[in-house]
Formats: sequence, structure tokens, C-alpha cells
Amino acid sequence: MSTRRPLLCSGAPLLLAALVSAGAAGPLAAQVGYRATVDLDMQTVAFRGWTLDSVPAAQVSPGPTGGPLTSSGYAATCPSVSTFCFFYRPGDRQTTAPVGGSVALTVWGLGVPGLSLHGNARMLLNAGNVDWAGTDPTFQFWEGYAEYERSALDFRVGRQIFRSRLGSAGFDGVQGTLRARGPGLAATGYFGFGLAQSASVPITSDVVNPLGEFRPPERNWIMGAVGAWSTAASDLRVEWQREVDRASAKLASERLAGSGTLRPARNWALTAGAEYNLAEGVWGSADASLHYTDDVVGASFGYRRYRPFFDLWSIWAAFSPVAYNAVLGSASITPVAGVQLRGRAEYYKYEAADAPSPLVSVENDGSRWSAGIRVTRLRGWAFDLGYDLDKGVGARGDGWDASVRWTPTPRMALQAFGSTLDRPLELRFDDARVRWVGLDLDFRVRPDFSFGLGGLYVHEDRQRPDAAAFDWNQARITARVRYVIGSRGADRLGLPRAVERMPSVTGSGR
Amino acid sequence: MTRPGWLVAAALAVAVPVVARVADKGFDHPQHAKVFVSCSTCHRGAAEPSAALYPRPADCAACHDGTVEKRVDWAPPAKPHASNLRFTHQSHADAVRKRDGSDSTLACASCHAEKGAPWMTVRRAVVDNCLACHGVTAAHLEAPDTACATCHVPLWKAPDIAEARIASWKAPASHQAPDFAAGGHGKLAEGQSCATCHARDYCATCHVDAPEQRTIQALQADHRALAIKLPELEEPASHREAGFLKQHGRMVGAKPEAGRCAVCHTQESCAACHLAPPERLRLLPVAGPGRGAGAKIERRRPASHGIDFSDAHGALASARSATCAGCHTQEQCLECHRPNAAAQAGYHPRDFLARHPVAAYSQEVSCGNCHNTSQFCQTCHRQAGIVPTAVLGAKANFHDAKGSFLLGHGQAARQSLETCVTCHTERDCLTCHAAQGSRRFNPHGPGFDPTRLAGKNSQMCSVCHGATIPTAP
Repeated sequence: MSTRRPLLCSGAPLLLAALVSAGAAGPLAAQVGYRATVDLDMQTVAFRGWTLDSVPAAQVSPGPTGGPLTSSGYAATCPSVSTFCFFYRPGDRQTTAPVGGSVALTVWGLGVPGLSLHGNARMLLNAGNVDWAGTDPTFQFWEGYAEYERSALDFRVGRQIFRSRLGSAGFDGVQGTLRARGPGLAATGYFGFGLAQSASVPITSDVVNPLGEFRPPERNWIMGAVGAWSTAASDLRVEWQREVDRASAKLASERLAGSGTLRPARNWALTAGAEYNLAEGVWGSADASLHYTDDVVGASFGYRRYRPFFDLWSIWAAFSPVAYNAVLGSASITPVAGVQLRGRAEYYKYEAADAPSPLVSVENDGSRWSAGIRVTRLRGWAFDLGYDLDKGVGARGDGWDASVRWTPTPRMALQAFGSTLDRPLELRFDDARVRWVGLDLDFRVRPDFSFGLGGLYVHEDRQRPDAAAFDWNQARITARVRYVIGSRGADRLGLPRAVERMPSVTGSGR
Repeated sequence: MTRPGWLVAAALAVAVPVVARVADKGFDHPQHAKVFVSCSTCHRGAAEPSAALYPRPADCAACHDGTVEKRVDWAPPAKPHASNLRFTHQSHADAVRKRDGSDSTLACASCHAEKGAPWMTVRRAVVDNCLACHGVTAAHLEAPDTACATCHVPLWKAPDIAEARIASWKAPASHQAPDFAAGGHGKLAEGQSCATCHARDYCATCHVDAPEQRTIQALQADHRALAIKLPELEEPASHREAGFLKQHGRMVGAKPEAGRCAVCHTQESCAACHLAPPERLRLLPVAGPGRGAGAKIERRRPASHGIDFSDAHGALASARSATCAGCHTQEQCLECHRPNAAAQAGYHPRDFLARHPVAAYSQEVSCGNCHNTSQFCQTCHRQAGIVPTAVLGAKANFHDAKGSFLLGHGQAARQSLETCVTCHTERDCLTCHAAQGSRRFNPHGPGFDPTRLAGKNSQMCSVCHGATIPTAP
């Protein structure tokens, strides 16, 4: 029945070649299926910060508002303990060009039904004169595990990422799941050497400690368990996770979470969940929302609470971060085919911080608003216009986003976009006005091969009443290539164009 | 007419296409009714296998010599007319003779003329006459499908029939039933009658499992069968039921349901949505030569994936990650839930570099879910000059929008501590907030449980309190 291609055609990955040459050839090779997604990304980017400078206190004079002003016009700070006054002058333009390549590989059909191999690795290089976020280390090994999966059992061993309500937990270890499909029950347990939060390296690596703070000298143990019950009308899940500092044999974190979804009627869903920090004895983030979605209307309304989480090997938990509580709602409606209106609103307020200060007033509530319209009435064209407003604690912003997407063929899309953003910086006497326009091209040469090119021109005006005001611009270029290779029957397509044309919840349309 | 002559005539009469074509386009039989008294005068071959079925042109010229009658331009067909009849005049005559005895009175007109028609008013074989004689009481296309093979040979045995003619064949009445294409035809497919019009190629156009179906494999291959118009297939009613999306996986896994899925679906059907290959996918065939391409599956966005789903999906994913895994792979999660410095905006809007201070400070979402905030944030902040390089307060006041911010930062810090630590280290805070060797400002606020924290990890307490960790009052 099978008409799979030979294993080694189409440039099969080295791993497969090794498998076959290692004696798995013949009958095994004929059964092996694999899929590898290769991504190459590149962008040029620049940023500009500040440079701390100073002048002798004798060289400043009172400015128009009474504060000290340097002879070159910078507003300065003159500490009483110093004979110098300090100020920030615009920093140098920092340019870089991060280049990344990643490979995600899945291999199955290894002679044991249910056995598969998974790998996910990335290589990142900086081609500019400064480091760019996330590009260290150069080679990043995110996942590499063997999985044995049957209907009632799933077992993994190797480097893996466990995602749950408690976040992403990377570890080198084992994970097992038992399922009882009849009643819809599942139980999962995992255990291993932990990786740093959202990183491919352990916490002991200097990479995740650029400022030289204290870090545990050994990798944490991480362990957890999940119980889930699923029926046609509901999904319930309880999770527990513990991290142990191996060097001190002390607890690094221990949390419990529960979440659930109820589907009381067609198109309706109620989701809710909460986290409890067992180590600190405080409630963490939580949410509850009611969703309704049909072909014309989509709406949700809910509550959420956000409280950041810190490991106990740092001191931050003792600084008592406070949570905010929010009510939020969103709606979208398609009054006529090809026209969709959307809107979203959220109001949040922080819990009492118990840190009153007569000298500094800080807002303790805020709101986020967005609205937009998307028109797809003309075949092959999509117009999108959106407005976002954040009124927040220490930071706010408002701006417009507009885009026109032209899809002359199912394989090609060209998009022009432009945006504005006015953003008084958080807690700094500095307004920034940013404007940018750009073009983006996506071309799917074949179902398994696509590339994209983009260009973006950014102009930023940082407004201050002193000499630290400046404006600057930059042109950014992005390029990306995606290639999917696989055995016959394993070639995977991306999302159909029809789906891609739906109102985006990511990217510029968000 | 002698008895053998009648038999010959009868056999000749059933040679539908041949005689009909001559009658229609060439020879005018009624016009010659008074000339010929026997069919075999011209069509000797119908009675004598060694003789020609048609007369020679010279025989016509005996009269049509230009004097007695005008000349005619006529020639017998070069080869027999293409037919799929299970028939030769000789064999049919033999069969009739065997069945009815040597005194059978079957004549040419029995098949080639309507009952009571005048002499030589011949036409193509009157099918009803054939059916009546063979015991079939229904009209031709309303006859049971099993009756086709009574008169017709399988299509592959009639290689001379052109595709255009095949395409013109009318479908039997049984094929008009509402569920015939979707499944009803399978019950009738046993036996050879289907082969009258169809061949394996036709079945394999729709049937993904054609190579595994004995009934289909029993048919010969013949590409001409594709000339017959294919039915418009719709998804079964069961696929439109509300719970189908959720239940279909179990249907695939429950034999014999798996076999039914394999009629229309290949593994590629599953791959339209299931980016990770489910174990049950192997129950379905892989697309390839000899089998249908399979139903085209359009990946649709579930109703739950509304406009703000990127922000709200966490709760759903947490509640049942196995549901997500039905259509998504971890690689897709990693596209957002992991920093890819070289990629352009994915989860975030374009130029998030300019936008990120607002989003980060207001903690709309947790940056730490995807980024290692120490590594990711501090890498740039350090190079941008916004990381403290000296004891706080000893140099410039970076947060100059708030006068005396250093003295009144407590509320802001407790509200946005996650943001503070993207630039500040423990050293910065411990300058003042430590129980030993500093200004001894108490950093503890709401919810602080010293006994509990000391019990869980006293190392944290020791950073400020040394070996003398106070207990709760």
C-alpha cells in the first residue's frame, strides 16, 4: 500500500542518513517518515539609547524652569554628594543584523509503532556591531527527545519543553502520560534537570546573566504532575510544579494551578483558571471569561488577574510585587460579508501596594482600548485599519495601524503598511513619536518552499525641552526562507490562504 | 424463406449497429422492399460465417448501372462497427437453435423491426424485443443492473468504442438514486454488470482505497472509463453534525469505521489539519498511483479561535493541551513562545522595538512566558545605556519624569517589579533595602509571609538578614 519515497531522496537530514546506514536500512527505511522544517531569517535593525555624561557642577546654570542646565543645553542632575552634575546625551546609533536558522525535525516509522524522534535547534549570528537580544548562545538546542506514543501511553525522554498554565518549563529528563480515553482521563508526570526560564541553556550559564547577578551554582531539579479530565462539554486540568535548588536543597518554586473550559451550548465557552504559589502562600494570576462565537459575531467578556512570579533563589519575591485585576471584553462582528469590525477594551487596577509616597504620585490603574475594521470585499485585497490606546501606569501609548494586503495568486501576497505611535516613556521626561511605513512580500514558490522580503522605514522623534531631544530614522530589511522537506505523506502545508486572510490576531493587525 | 434462412435473418437482425448504420446512412431498406424477399440475399454472412455480411458494390451495380438505375457510391464498412454486445450472428443463431430446436422461427425482423412493421422497415435492434426474449420485463435502462451482462460484454472487451460514444451513454435508473454515488452503488457493485460501462480507472478516481477493494481490483483497467462524467460528491451528513470534529478521531480508530474513512480519505486528508501525524493516521492509505486523490479538507479555524485568541488561548491550551495538539505542533508554539531574534514580528506587532516599553511596563502579558527577561532585556538595555552603572542616586536621575523618584518609587516598583528588573539588579535595591550594612529600608509589603518563605528557602532571607533571620511577630 505504501508508496513512500526512498528515505534519502530530497536531501534527507543527516540524522536519517545515520539511522539508515546504521543498519536500519531495508524494511525500516521503507517505513520511515520524517518531516523537517528549515527556517532562515535575517533582519537589519538599529536602536539608539543614552550615554551618561557629566560636567563640573560649576559649569551648570539655572534653566528656564529653575533646574540645572549645562552650557550645551542638557538638563542635568547635581547630586549633593558630588562636585559633578550628570546628564544623559543621545547615545550612539547601534546597528546589528541578526541572522537565524532553525531546524525542526520529526522522524517516525522507526520499526516500533508509536516511536518517534523530535528535534528543534536554532543557530543565531550577529552581523552587526552590537549584540542583539536572544542571539546568545549562537547554537541553541531547544528540544531533542524520543517519544513513544500509544493510545493510552505517551512517554518522552530527552530535552523537552513542557507547556502549561504555569508557563514553559524546559528540562532534560522524562515525561510520561497515561490516558483512559473512555472516561477522558489523563495523568502526566515529568522530572528532570531544569533549564533557565524561557531559555535553551541552564540557569548556570552566563548567557542568562549579562549583569552578573547571583545565580544558583547548579541546575534546578524540576518535577511536576498534571491531571486532566475531558468530556464533550468540559475540560478540567490541575497542575503542580516544583523546582528545587540542588546546591542548597531548598525550594526554588512550588505552584499549583487549576483551569477548565465549559461548553454549555453550541458557540458558547466558559474558561477559567487560577494559580496558587505554594511557596509564598499567595494567589498568582487568574482569569475567567465567557466566549461566544458564530459566523457573524464573536464576543468575550471576562476578568483576569496578573501577578508576576519570581523564583525563590532571587530576592524579588520578598519585595512583594502586587497584582492587578482587570475586566475586559472584546467583540467582532461581520455585518456584511467581507467587512469585519472589531473592538477590545480592558480596565485594570493594581491592588494596594502599601508604599505611599508624598513625593511621587504613580497611577494605580489603566486601560487598554483597540478598535479596527477589516475589509475583504474585493477579491484578493484586504484592507485593515486599527487604533490602539493604552492609558497606563507609568507608560501609555496611542497609535494607528493601517495595511493593505494584495494576494493576486494563492501563492503570493504583497502588503503595504503604515503605523503611528505616540508614547510618553515610562517614568522618564521624554515623549517619543514614531512613524513607520513598509512593504512586505510573501511568496510560496511551492507548498514546501516559501520566502519573504520586507522593508521598513522608521522615523522617531524624541521630544524634550532640552538638548537631549533628537530625531533619527532607520531603514530595516527583513528576509526569510522556509523549506519543508519530508517523506511522502509527511509534507505539511502551512495554513490555507483562506485562513491566513482571516483577521489576524497577531502581527500588525493585532 | 427456409428455416435456416429465418435463423440467419434473425441473427442478422440483432446486429444492431451494423445494419442500422447502413440503413441510416446508406441503404434505404423500405425503398427496396419490393426488390428483395430475403435479408440473406445481401447479408449472407449473417447465416454463413464464411460469407461476407455485406454485399459487394458490384452486386448493387447489377441494377444501379447508370442505365437501369442511377449509379450509387457505396462500399461496405472496412471493419465491423464497434460494439459491446455479447453477440455474433452465428453464435446467437446457434444459441437459439439449441434452445428452441431446429424448427425455431426466429427471424431478422424479430429484432430489427417493430412488431407488425411492413417488410424491410428495419431499424436498429429493438432493445425491448431483446429484453423480452431474454426474460427481462423492464425497459432497457430500468432493467436490474445485474441484467446488463446478459447482452453486454465488459467495456475492456470492446476496445474499439470511442470515448465520445462512451461519454454519451445514459446512466441506468438505479444510478439516479440520491445515495447512489455516496454509498449505494457499493451494494450493487458485486458482479460483472458494472464492468459494462466502468473500469477500474473510474472507481479509483474517487476510491482512495481502490487498491485494497477486491471488487474494484476485479475490474480491468481502461482509461476510456473516465469519459463518463463523475458524480458530484458531498460530505456525508455525519460530517456536518455538531460533534463530528471532536469525535472523528475515535471513528477513525474504531474498525470498521476506519475502512469507511479510507474510502475517501488519505493520510494527506488528515495532514491538512493534523500537523503532527497521529498514530491512527496510519490506518489510512497514502495518496499515490492507482487510488483517488482523496477528499480535499479545508483547515478551518475553530469557533473558539476568536479575534483575541492570541491573548486568550493560554487558558484553553492549559485546560486541554491535547486538543491543541490535534492541529498544532510544538514547533508552532515555539514560533511565538521563544525568542527568535532574527525573525520579524510574529506574535508581536511590527516594530515592537518601538512599542515594547508600553506593553512591558503595563504588563499586558508576561514577557517571561517567552523571553528570559534577564538575558533578553538586559542584552539591549545594557548597550543602550539605561542600566545603572553606579550606586543609585550618586549620578543622574534617569526617571526624570517624576521628581525625587528615587525617594518615592515604592509603589511603582511593587506594581511593575518585573519591568524594573530588566535594568536593575539585586545590588541596586540592596543599596537601601537590606537589614545589614545599608539604609535598612524594609522592602516587604502586602502578602509577605516571612515564616513561610524562610521555611521554603532561607537563603533568600540571608541575603539581607545574614544568619539572623527574624520570624514573624
